[in-house]
Amino acid sequence: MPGKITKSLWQRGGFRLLAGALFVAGIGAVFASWTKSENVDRAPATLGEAVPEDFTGLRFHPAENFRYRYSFERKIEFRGFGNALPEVGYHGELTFDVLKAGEEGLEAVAQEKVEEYGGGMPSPLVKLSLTADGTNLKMFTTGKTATEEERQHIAVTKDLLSLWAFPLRKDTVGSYEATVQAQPAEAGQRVLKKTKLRYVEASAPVIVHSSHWMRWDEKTSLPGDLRGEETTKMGQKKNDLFSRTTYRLRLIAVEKIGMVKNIQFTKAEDMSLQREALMLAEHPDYAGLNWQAVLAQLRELEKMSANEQLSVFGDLVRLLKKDPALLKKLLAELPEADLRAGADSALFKTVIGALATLGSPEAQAALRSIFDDPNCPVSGKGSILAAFTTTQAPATPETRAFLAAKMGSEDKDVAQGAAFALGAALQGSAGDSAAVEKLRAAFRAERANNNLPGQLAMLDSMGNSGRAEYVPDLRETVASGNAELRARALFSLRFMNNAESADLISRGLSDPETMVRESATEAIKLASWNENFRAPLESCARGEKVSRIQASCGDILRAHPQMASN
Amino acid sequence: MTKQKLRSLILTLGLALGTADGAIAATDSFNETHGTEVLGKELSAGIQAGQVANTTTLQTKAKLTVLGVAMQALTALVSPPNTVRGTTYTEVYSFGKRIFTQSNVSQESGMLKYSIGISPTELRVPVVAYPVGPVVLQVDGGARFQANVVIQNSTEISFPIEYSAFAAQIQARAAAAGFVEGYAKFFVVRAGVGGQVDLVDAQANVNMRKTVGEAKPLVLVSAMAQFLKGHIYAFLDVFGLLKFGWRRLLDHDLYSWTGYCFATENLTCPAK
Repeated sequence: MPGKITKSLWQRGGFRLLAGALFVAGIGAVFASWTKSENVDRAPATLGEAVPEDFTGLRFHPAENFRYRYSFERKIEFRGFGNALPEVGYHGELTFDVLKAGEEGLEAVAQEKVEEYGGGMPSPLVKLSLTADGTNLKMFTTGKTATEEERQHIAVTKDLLSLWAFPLRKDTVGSYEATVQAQPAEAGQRVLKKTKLRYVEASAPVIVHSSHWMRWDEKTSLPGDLRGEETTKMGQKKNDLFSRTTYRLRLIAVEKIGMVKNIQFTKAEDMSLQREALMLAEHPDYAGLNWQAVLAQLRELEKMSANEQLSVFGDLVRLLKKDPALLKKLLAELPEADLRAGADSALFKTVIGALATLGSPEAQAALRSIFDDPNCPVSGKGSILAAFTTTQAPATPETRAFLAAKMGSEDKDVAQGAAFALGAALQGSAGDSAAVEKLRAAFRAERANNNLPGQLAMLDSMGNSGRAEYVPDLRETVASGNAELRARALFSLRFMNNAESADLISRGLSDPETMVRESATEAIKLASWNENFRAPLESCARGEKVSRIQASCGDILRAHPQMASN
Repeated sequence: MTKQKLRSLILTLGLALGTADGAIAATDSFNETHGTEVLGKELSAGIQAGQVANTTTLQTKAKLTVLGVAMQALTALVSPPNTVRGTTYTEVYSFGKRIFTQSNVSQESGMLKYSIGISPTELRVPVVAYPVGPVVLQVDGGARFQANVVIQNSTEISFPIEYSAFAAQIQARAAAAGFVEGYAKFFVVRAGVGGQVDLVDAQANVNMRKTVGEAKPLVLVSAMAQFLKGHIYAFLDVFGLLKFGWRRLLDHDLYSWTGYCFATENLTCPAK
């Protein structure tokens, strides 16, 4: 891989490599005068007047067929895991060629040039569409396959655009909450300050400090000067990752350009930066994988501990994701002896597990084929059905039809396993009303026959699906006189995640039967949290007479502490 | 006593005592949970085996937490009957979904045995995103899990009826690993996190025997569980000018440990 990078960089000349390396060591000098003398927090000269909250009132309205040029500087300092690391910085120009501008907003083509990379070679073009109030930004590229370097340039452009569109509440991480305050004007120009408070997504990092400042240019109806500083962190104490980023964008020139060349921009780009599968291939846990080595380990699985087997399984899944063509070679490695051994064979289970985890249409077809092999014992069929039930990969229509057909199997265990798997296959998908109806009809048939174990199993199948279409049947069963059925129906509501199912589960906490109340707590543990659970759980934690249920209620409440109201 | 009843009695006693060869367990429950933190998020595993309080239901559970996301990897429940010709219920869930169920009415003396092989499965948890200027380091992660569960129910019907007995056993072998993957590259700098921790490698046998005439069952558990052995790392490379290759600037262990082991008295943890 380093050889590949060497060739691509070398093609652009050694001087560019020198520039690229120097920035890591000494680019701090470029920012020295700015960071020492201009502190973002001191930019407003005086703060004598009251400032209203959340004020923008901006209207982005530049002139059509004009080019607006900004200079930019970006610096990143980070500390990783107790170590201070070299600063990263870059600077260059960001240009906007305005195609259209009106009361609704503007359309423009943006491009950046980073001086440190490629000797100032321009980035791919990005077309943007921004509403006049600056709160909604859409981006498009040409859709042509970009090299890795071009993709990184597009990432730089997205980052700069998210800073330039000051009223926007979204950046390359995701949406965030922020406050905006008017500041005293400078040289007759409006000044605003934005403070990011938190990211909306719980998985986003913590914002330790945020300060973004903008001076509006009334003449061009665009930002004239923007600067900002942000500190984020992830982790704690010595195992933390801490970064402080600063930037500045300044409008430096406006030029008339005539008509902008007509280019087709067909690919919509999301603001957030997605990790690409291609890049993951360079990760050390992927880069060192070798098919022959993994194959050799597969043949030795029986001699390994359970966790060693899991490690081989993980490598196998990574290899199959990296190169789906290896699937056929993998299937060729499953000898008949292991097929006949079914769930007693570590190799059989590992292959089944890898196929189910991969979940591609070809992998699912292979699983169906192994299931139907006359040499596959019931234990093996059971493992395949369990794998179809727990995999996160969506089931293909062919797999759903296969599972529906296997519900008619003469072997009761296989038939029930197929019903469980079909229910799980319906989770997270819309449509396939035929499969939904099949499970419902099977449940109603068991109910008509007064077959309690059959009803319980079909309630489980519906519960695996999380499909709201089953709520009426479950509601009816929750109201039945049989405690076992009530308990199972309540538990089957766990994935349905709507107001009615949450209400039914909550009411179950006050059922006179212990097994029903216990079932309600188990359902809440697996359901998406709903604040309507809180009051009945608090009542349970205070007064439930069965200690294990009371303890469960307390555990659930501790896992979902009440947020302090602002 | 007929040959069939004698065989059933011997098997029943063997099950109640833990293994076919009669080794003795010394506890009625096993409950261990151990964890650590990586990048500020919890990484842990818990094994629970024994009798559900105030019931005759036996359970074995495995719970995992990866990057702060909790998952119930395995729940196996056996509920023997309280009466002759009652129903024994067996239920197995994996990651919150039912994968196996059985219900059998005990008509006569005998033993039923079910094996459930849960193939290795990989479940991914939501990404944690960390911005560093224009680059977002996305840390992906998940759990890998496999298990084998063998469930046995036996019934010995005797007369007078109060001497009839029921026995149940869950033998579970479960292993789980947590992994993280994160990678970001910005021109001449690349960084990431990776690695795997064996969250748990456990075996747990829960045995119960109850005579119809007795109020309480006899429950015995033998179990051993190893936790948290593994390595999670972080790295940062810079592309070097002179050597035209990547140079490692940072190689940091976020977690590295040989793990813990806990066992009931009749089992021995392996030497490290």
